[in-house]
Amino acid sequence: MIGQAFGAELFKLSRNQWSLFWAFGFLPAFVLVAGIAEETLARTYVGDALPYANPVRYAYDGLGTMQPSIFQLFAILGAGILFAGEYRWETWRAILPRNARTAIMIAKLLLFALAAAASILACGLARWFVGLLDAALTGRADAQANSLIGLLTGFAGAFLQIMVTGALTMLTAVVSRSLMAAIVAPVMILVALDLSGLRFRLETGDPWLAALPNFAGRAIREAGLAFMGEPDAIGVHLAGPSAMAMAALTVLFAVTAIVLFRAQDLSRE
Amino acid sequence: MTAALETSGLGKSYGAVTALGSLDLLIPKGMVYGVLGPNGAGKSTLVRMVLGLVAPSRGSFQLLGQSAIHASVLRRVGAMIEAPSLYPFLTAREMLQMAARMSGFREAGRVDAVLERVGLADASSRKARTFSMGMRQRLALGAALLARPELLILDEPTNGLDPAGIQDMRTLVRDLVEKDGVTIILSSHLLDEVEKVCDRVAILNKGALIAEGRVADLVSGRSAMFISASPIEKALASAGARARPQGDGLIVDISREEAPALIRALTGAGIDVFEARWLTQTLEDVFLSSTGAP
Repeated sequence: MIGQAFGAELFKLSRNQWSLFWAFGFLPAFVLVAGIAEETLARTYVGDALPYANPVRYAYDGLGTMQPSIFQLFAILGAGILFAGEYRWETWRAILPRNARTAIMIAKLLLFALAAAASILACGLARWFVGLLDAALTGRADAQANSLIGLLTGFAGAFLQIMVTGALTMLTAVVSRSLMAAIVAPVMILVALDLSGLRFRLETGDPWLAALPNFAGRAIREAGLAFMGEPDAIGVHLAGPSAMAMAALTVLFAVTAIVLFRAQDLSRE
Repeated sequence: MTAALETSGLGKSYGAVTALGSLDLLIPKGMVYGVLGPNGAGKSTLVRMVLGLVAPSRGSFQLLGQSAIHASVLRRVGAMIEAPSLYPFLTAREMLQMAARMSGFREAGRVDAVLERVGLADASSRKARTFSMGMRQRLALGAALLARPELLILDEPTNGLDPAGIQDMRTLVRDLVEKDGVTIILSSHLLDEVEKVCDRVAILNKGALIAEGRVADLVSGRSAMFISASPIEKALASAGARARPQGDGLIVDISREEAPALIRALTGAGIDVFEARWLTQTLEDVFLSSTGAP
């Protein structure tokens, strides 16, 4: 059931190309174009500031592109289309008699995870390409800080953070039955979390910060930096609890959404 | 032989509002069964409960012999309820391909065959958002037919269709029942259509079942004869309490067996009888009198 629903959802999303691009394709393209523009302008007006470049470190930075709230907007748009699109187009009645409610919601979440992971990886690749360009122009690539574990940790931090956002969007879509609300509510929550960053500091190492996705994501990324040999990484001890907290939040939001959806009367989508 | 749908005290309330009271209904297999009723009668609520979109507040039902409604049962049912439900960014072909994937249904050539059957073969590569209402209706019907359902639920299937399309739909519905053995539950406001294609009907009003039976039985339930006679006053007096004036004659509520005796009595009383004909009742008459509509 889940496999069939996943196949149908994947087929549907692949045909919704405009939404697919803006939700998951625009950011990697932006990272690539902005990176090339940045290199060009820097060399034109500043010159070669550093005598070497590290493409792997570029890739690491690229993997974290989606972590700021403003860039999570694109993933929220994607999640909104996946979870609230059926309410918008009144299409639940077209698919629910063909598969189980739980299977369809799990399939949608898996598809979001796949698309978000691909988008994060594409951002990393785009930035890696910019790093290669920099290294080619500089004539020297820094071989230090090439840690696969560091890259994987950086990816995990970005992925877990975006999954919390995706599951939150899933929940608001079910509760509100509205695409607009499913996008606006998570954005507002992320903005509120960003504002909390003005008051709290990861440097304090307070354990409860692991429960806030923006701090938790950063703590994991800092751990990734430590794996890559960065001596000034902060809040590394929060990486483990942060990963567990984000996984737990994702499961909590998703299970709540599924339980509510299973009991939801669709007299009108 | 199990029924296509059997309900027992089935009902739905939204707070203080009762959408469907307590419905006992048995829809046999192998026929076109019409569900009639004015807006708010509970037809769509019934269909949505059967399809698992809405949970019943009371009562129970069996769909194709199964009381636990899950995807394995619902995949034996094709449904087109209310307005066509389509993804605007999918083409007609993609819409059917998506529906097949969601159902786990695989049969080579089936999508093309369905597109042909609903008359959309030439528009198979067009996005659904460019479709007219009639084309959307045809595509939704195609999606309902795709997985070779045993039971087909059609809600206002002729909405937006031109006269030729309505004729095609009528033929398709009868073919599905007579050639493919599909059972069809058809909800419609077009009483003439229902009368032409349905074998049995149920009439709902304000969430309650108020009439049910074979179409032929329902329309023949009331028998009346119009008699053009003169003098009219003498004819009315002779026919008694069963008669009422109507134009240049009278309408008498009598059975077929009573008719010869009545006419003999009128002519025997010296009344000139110019015309005597049975008044046929349409399903619309039954519907309006059952629902209390003016």
